[in-house]
Amino acid sequence: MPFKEFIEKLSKAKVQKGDIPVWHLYTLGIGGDVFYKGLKEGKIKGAYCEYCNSVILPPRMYCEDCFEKIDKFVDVKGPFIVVAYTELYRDLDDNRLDIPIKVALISVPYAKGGIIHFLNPYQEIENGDIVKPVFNKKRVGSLKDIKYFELKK
Amino acid sequence: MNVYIIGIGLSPPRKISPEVSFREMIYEAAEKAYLDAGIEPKDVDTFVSLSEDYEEGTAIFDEYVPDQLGAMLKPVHTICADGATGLASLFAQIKTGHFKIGVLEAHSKLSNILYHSHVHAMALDPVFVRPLEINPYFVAGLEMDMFLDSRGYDELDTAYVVAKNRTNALLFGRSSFGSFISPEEVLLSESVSDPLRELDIAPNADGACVIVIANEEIAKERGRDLIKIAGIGFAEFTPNIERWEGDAEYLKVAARKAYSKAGIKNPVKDIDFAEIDDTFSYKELQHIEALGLVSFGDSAEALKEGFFDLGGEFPVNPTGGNIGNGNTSLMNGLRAIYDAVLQLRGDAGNVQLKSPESALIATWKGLPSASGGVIILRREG
Repeated sequence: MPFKEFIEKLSKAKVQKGDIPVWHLYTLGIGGDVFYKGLKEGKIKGAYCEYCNSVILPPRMYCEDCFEKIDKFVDVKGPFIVVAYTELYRDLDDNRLDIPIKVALISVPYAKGGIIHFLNPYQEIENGDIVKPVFNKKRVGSLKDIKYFELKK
Repeated sequence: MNVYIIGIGLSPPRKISPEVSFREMIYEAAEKAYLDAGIEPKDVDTFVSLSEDYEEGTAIFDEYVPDQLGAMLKPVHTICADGATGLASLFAQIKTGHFKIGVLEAHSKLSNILYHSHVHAMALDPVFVRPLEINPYFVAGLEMDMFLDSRGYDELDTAYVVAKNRTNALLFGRSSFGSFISPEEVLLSESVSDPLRELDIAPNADGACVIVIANEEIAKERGRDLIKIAGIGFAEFTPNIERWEGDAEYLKVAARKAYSKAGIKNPVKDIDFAEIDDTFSYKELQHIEALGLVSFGDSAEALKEGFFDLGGEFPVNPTGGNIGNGNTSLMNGLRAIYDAVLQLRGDAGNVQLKSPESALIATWKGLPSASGGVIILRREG
């Protein structure tokens, strides 16, 4: 009765291995397209909802509060403020990282929402600090066109 | 028309379950629940099952639901939702008057998933967040930071949740995750996504749970353990984590609805105890405040003073919550309902409270969601 023996790890049991080989292409959408094109130009773009007079980050073609369509997009120039941050010690395979990745929610005072992105790992940055985006020199229209946010001196 | 819980069945949460498949675990829970309710599958009019394809490792998972529940050729709804939302769906069907007996099922085989973080990562926004290619525990780390920062709490405050729930689980004696551990020892565990530590996270577990509900006529015919679903509510906040502020807005709305239906004016006075989602330690405190059990910013002090202990004024998670019993994903809410019913029946063994008459259950769908629900149960007779 091999299945009834005490087993501490599932890999020691009789199992059928399998995986889910799925690859997707995600349409950026109207708001996402504006955002990604902005990143390629070294800019952070937001949507502007004229009904609640708010900038929405990241930009979307509708306001989730007003449920109104948005066709106005604006440059968001700051001040970018760290709302919350975490130091992440695991990679996607749950392996331990010796040097943590600093991830933050960054926003501007007049916006709904914000941007989830990295902080400069070599700077001491706290909640409430004002930061600025550091863009890569070569930009391709990707979320990682922003290298990270760092303290604004 | 009132609706009652008439049967419960559990394949207990445990770290791994190499001896059975997920379908066999569900069968075990269903068999126990039907026996408890004094019914057979042929008596059931409608079924609701909770699952998430990616966690099952099977596409179109709803096709794999009926056989082990005795539900072939019967109405079955498979939905991806937390326990309270699932119960609300079944409750609404019974309330129509078209169905007399309904069955709610949920299960977990998380041990089958080799890289669980990849599954969570698939739940992140594919345009604005997922391209960062980082472990999704950062969402809990960020939210915990917001929660602590907004209240002036620290990591020791949430470590008290871990100590309480692991101790309760040890006293209850069903789970292998129970232990006597001090809050200070919790702080010695490895950082996962600072301020979130290893022991702040409910460990993944396998299990299955089945709940049988029925209309008043059937429940009163059965004649014992009349556990009424006195109130229920559920809500979803935005999935855009950029808008989260460290509060469980979904539970505030869900609680308001459930309290209103159950005639609850003051939850601490009108209810005897609670099962509250604690998949991460900070979530228990965040949920306690959202439920209005204490004011904003007062939960940590109340916890330290023993207010939520087994012998406290308002016990929370007397059997150990998810931290003490394991994280069984969408089954977490059903395990909470199961344990609340044990308490109301007087069957909770070492952790039995003194003649509780009403229970509050608060569920959360899990990382990275902002969805949850609230159930009020009341013992009659």
